[in-house]
Amino acid sequence: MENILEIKNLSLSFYTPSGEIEALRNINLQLGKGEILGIVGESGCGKTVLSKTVLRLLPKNAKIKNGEILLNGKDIVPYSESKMRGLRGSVMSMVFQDPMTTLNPTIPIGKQITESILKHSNIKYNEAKKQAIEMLDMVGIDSPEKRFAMQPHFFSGGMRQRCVLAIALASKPEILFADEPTTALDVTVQAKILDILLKIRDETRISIVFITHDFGVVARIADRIAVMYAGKIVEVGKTEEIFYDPRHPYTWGLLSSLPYFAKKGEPLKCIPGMPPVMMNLPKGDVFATRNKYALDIDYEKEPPIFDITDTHKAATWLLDKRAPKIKPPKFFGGECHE
Amino acid sequence: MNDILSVHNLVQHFKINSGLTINAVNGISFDVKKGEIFGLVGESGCGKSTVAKSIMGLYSLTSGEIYFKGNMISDRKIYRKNKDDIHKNMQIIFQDSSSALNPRMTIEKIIREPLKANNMYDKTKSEKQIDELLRQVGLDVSFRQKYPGEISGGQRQRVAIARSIALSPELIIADEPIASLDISIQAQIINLFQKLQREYGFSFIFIAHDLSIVRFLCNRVAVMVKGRIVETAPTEVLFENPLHPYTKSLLSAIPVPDPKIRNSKFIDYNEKELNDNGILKEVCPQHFVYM
Repeated sequence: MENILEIKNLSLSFYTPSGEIEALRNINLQLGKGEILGIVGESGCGKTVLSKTVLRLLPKNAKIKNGEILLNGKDIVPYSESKMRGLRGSVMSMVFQDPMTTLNPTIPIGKQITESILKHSNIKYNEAKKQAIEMLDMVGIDSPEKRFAMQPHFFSGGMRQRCVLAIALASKPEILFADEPTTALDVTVQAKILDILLKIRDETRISIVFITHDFGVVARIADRIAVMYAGKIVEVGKTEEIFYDPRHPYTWGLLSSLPYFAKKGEPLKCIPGMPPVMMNLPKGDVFATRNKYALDIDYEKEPPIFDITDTHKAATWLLDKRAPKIKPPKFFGGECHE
Repeated sequence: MNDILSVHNLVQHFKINSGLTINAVNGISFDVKKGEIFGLVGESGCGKSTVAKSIMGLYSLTSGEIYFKGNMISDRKIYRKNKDDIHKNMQIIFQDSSSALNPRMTIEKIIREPLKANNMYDKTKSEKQIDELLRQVGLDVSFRQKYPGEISGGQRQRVAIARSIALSPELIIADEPIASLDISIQAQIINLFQKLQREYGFSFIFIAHDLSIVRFLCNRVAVMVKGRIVETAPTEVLFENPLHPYTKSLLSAIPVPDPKIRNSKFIDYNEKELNDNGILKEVCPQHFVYM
């Protein structure tokens, strides 16, 4: 599969009056054409910053320290703001968590979609309107002709998120970044939106980066999953590899804290402590203090990325040849035991 | 009498103006037994929180009756007569801990307040109790002097829990207490609820939209839609054998963390299909379905 997006050794920091925040640390990631990549992690781990860095939607105090972002083989890190503006919308789009803050409450939905189409192509308004109605139809809004002229407050939360999706897809981008697009929605609405995203991917071969903290959602939608912790990708692999053969203790911790794998009446297994503040990070592996499998070396030196298969990689010293053999927790085919 | 709380035919219609009335709750009935964790699930806007607030006496009812330990507290006079008992024994935990805690009060003041308000404050004893409460919810004494703004969301929710159990109430209503927290923190708070419930033995109404947590935590579940309970049953019965089409739809929508089941079909349900004059019928023991 050819890669449409390739991120190499990307590091990014925010410079604040109280110090440097290392939001992204040495990220390596590929996104294939027509692929859905799930990015999972707790809040503050850098998953949103990663997608905003690719789109360069960053505040002034953010700085890419090193690394490359190859879009169709071309590095876009040195691009100027006007050149980036040409890419946003037409090549890459983003959908945010809260549809109410994304949409303009005073402008009819149809106009907000045609705006996006007219901006990125040289067609007449009537043609754009036709396309916008098609888009609304595609994201599953019924009687789109009638709804075309309505303001967002006439729509329910789920319908608003569909409209946002229609705007993002209207200019036919090659990559869609979806940042927790279903977190604010009810489960039944979420199920519908996920079905729509899968349908659109099959029809248009668009690549999707799907950011979420919900393992149930990535299991349903993603082809590959990257697990992030404290600005680093700690494990990446095919969805099946992450669920059926997870290797990183953080992935184990996240999976075992899900009620789905727990036995009723027993306490949930949780990761002790809290995600770190990304300032003045300690020496060694940042996860070590919350990791009950931590080795001595975890407090000294950051683990490199170890290859498990061609597609499956994890950054933990447990995969080193010299590491002691431990019995990893199992999540399927038997209860979650340790 | 085994029920700590029973709700009979609760109706809550909010009159906005002469032309518009919002029918938030349309006649629901349920009982909560002593020491039970009762789950109330449904999608946003189905009236779950209105039920919680009605029980707490924050709204006056349009019609219906609420009994707490056998006293009809929906009646203002009876409520006033039993005020002390109700205030001490019924507590609520809200979803958003940052707006539930006063930002200008230190943590110790926040936890001390219910003790003082109910005339149960005794300097030496209560101060020890505050230390103990903080320890119970997994915080330590160093938090006493902090303000809510200085601590994380998970810690704030723990403070809210400490405050609600300070008077050792008999019934706690938790309105989406973990919806705004991270997964690993959610697990910590759920464990805390379980531990406290076992130690104190209080009854619990757990309101949530996350069904996997409800399945894990609750003894009995009621499913709400459009201000009505459409199905209520012991948790495992409901999850194994859902009978109402809406429950089936809701259960089919739960994202399952197993890629093998990714293609399972989502069953759609149109809320307009719900008839307005149905009643809850007992189809098997303890399992009620609206039809």
